[in-house]
Amino acid sequence: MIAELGTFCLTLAFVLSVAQALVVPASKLKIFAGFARLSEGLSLSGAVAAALAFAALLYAFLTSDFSVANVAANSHTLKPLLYKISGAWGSHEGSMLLWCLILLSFSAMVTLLGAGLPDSLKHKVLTVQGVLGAMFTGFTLFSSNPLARVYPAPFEGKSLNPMLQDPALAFHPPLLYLGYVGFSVVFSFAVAALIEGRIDRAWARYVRPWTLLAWSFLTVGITLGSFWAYYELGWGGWWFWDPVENASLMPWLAGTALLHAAIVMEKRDALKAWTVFLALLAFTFSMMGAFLVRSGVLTSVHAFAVDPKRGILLLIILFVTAGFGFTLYALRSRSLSSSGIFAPVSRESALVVNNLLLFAALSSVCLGTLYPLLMEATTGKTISVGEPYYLLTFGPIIGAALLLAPLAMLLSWKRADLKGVLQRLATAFGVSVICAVVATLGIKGIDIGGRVVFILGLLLGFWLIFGSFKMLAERVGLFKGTMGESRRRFMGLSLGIHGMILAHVGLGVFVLGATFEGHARLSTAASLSAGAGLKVGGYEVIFDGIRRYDGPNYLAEAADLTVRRTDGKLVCGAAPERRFYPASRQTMSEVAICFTPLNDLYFVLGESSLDAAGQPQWQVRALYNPWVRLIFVGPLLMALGGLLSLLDRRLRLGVATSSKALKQEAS
Amino acid sequence: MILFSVIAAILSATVFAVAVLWLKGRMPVSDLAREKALYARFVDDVDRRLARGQIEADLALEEKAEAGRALLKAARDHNESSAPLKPAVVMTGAALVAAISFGLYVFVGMPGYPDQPYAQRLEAWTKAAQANPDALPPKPMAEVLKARAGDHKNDAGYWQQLGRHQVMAGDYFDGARSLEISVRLDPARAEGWSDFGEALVLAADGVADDSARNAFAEALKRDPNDISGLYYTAKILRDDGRFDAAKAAFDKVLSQLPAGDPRRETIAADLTALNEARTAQAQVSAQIQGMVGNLTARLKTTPDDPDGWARLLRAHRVLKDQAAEAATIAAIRAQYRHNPDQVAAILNKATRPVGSE
Repeated sequence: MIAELGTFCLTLAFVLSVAQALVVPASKLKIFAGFARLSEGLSLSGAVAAALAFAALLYAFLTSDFSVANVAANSHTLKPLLYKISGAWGSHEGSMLLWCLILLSFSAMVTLLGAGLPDSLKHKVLTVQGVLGAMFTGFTLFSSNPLARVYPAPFEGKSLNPMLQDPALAFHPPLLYLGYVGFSVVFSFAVAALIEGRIDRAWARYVRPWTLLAWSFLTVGITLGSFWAYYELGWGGWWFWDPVENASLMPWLAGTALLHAAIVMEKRDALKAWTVFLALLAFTFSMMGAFLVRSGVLTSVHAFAVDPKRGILLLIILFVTAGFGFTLYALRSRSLSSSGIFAPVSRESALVVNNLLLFAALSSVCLGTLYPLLMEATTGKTISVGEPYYLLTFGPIIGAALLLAPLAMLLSWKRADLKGVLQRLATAFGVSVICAVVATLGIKGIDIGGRVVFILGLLLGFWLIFGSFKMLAERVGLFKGTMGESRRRFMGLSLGIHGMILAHVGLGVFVLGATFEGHARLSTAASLSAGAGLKVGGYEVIFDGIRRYDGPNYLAEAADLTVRRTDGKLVCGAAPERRFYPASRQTMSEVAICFTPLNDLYFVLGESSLDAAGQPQWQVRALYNPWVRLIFVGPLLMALGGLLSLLDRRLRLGVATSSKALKQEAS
Repeated sequence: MILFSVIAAILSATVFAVAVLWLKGRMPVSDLAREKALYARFVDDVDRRLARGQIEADLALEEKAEAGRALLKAARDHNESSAPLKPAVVMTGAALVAAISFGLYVFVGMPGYPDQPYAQRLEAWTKAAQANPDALPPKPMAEVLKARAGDHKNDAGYWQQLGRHQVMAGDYFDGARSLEISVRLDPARAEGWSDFGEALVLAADGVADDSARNAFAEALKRDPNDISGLYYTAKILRDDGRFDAAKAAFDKVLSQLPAGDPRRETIAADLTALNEARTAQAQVSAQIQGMVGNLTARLKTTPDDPDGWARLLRAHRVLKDQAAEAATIAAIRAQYRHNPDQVAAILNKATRPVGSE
């Protein structure tokens, strides 16, 4: 009965969302006067109903109730507990319910934390959220119900794809969806403000925390996904420019541009039209990602193989939602003129250039992602757009944006002294150049062109870090007074400033890692029998032998490797595996990584063969990935910066907590 | 259905209660009051930042002026607090939402279909197994046996029963694992070995690998008349091209089956297939013999041909000519005595089917 109650709760969530979307327009009628307030209560009820439906799905997975079709298709009695839980969002149907739960929860958060919002704006935001909620819960309920039953129930489940049975991937989708769906609130704020015809600095102030929240979650979600791809898929890379990866990068880039544009709007009452456009764009790209992953148009390790019929429904949702938002935007464009005036050399100008560059980078990713799909759809020809395209288009554009970032942080609002700022940053630039050159000295085997790009990449990374520290030093008056005074100023800095500096340092750290790992990675492979070895990056790897064991739901063949430095010092023992999952009859490779603070030694076990003496040997691939840790630490610092900024009093989601407090403040 | 309806009504009421509690706890505040509060905090913040030296005085003044202008605009635009809600209308609305939800649920759900948690099903299967084991399908029976396997760790017969049910249920891999435990516990029974071999063949989609062959050999070692062992050995011999030996084994199986046994039909079909395979093999062998002759002659004149050696070795294997196979391997090792990697590559290539590379 619990599964059926879950379906009932999902139905209830759908009807509540429809009601939430209708009450505000209905309140214009006399009989329903005052009904707009109901949208607040309905948003809370909808979230509770969706949570109950999701709890029913979790229960079905935990109890291995194979009368639920989704559980039968994605679970197994022998599956470890964590993967029974993560199986709830491991399929298209389950992940759609998670999407709905997060969407309705964000609506509830607008109610709970939006006490400081004007009622009319808040209710319109909730109306738009209600429309979105109705569309997505309706889609889930009528075409992808994760609690749909199967009769008769199979005796055993088919189990979750072994590739998805991984801790990082268990948490990656919820975090990613928190980011994707978080942008729905920003979208709703934009549409609500366009309907209301009132877009001002206060609006930017309301939107910024929601953008920061969604952006921070999306950053962590993308990083976790990238980390999973790095150690689970066994190719040694962390970003493949796969269309599904790009689908998550596009809303992130739009969100990053929006964060910066909203600052200008809030501070200077400028860039109104642009900020609203980005607010609409970020969620549009989020929905496009959902369509690409679920429509069946893409073949990817990240994609759900779903039939095109459901893809068409998602496409309709995308067109209706984005179409309405952008049509309204076009109709109201005249009312979006800005009053803030600023000089060509100012922080505002720098942020405008930053936005243009981010948008150009976003366009290049969008083109590279959609062009092959459009070409195949229109001409039937298939082409592949890969890393070389993105390095030639996205790379230089984003490089220019990174070069500009420290300058923008030091420029004054309205009118700035560029020469003075350049002089103040000269030391940071000099130190960055020295660090970049020194870091590349020991690296051999790179041609001149590659070395120039290598140095430029490192220079940008160090420039971001030292430029951010320069800003911090100026803010705290380092070396201009006593250390105690600087410490006092440091403690007095707002959390927003700390967050901003941390996020930019994180970006620099990521750029350093991506550049270094991309240019200095070493790779070797050999067929090894017991006692044989290979060398990689100054390390000697000895193949001690093969060990077989039974896992909870798989059989494993593990290679015992001993890794030593060339001076004989033991570094680690590694055991890459090949696992056979009988339930799905799939064989998977499990990578082994020797973690050091900065670098990874990465091992993959391949298939066995016979050597010249007819004895078995195994293919072992070894990679030395220098500075790879920075690739994952950098984005985490960025997300931490975002969350730190959210703690800033001025950027908190809940500006005021009670109507009583509001009345007192107002009086 | 009645119980379901009652629980659905309680759930709906709970969900609506959340909304009602929220609305009751929120005093209506006019938008103007909110705007006043917002801009008052904004001005306070500007003052704080000015006091800390984070912004300049003229910017602070400008920001305050901006806030004042926005406040004046808000005062112009906003009405006072909204009209109160009518409880009767709200209650009617809530009842309508619940009724529509229930109606939709009846359309998309399966009312009355109970949950089937695995533990509960296992309990029911266990009761059925105790009451009438023959009526229980193989899969549930296997699950019942598997759940209690921990109590029969050293009981070979138990593991054999479990393995057989798993095989009957189509879980060949798990069946093979259970039957392997069974023969490990009691290696003396021929039947256990032939069951194990059969499960391995089924798990490998009909191919008998070395483990399966070994299992059947062990079975026949213990009982030369073991029907299952003989039958699978006959099939292996047929697949190996040893047709006479295969026919003898099939005949031996037939001789043990009583008249009217449905298995006799299967053996008859196998014997027909054997004759067809023998004819086809003779034709292929003639072709391969010709190719082997040409290849051997060519390799004598141009011995540095790794592909040619691999093809020759593969041809000998297809012809089941073990002596020629050994001689060819020796010749390959002699030809590439200074290049063991090449030897390994040829040996590995020869193990793959034609065209797989």
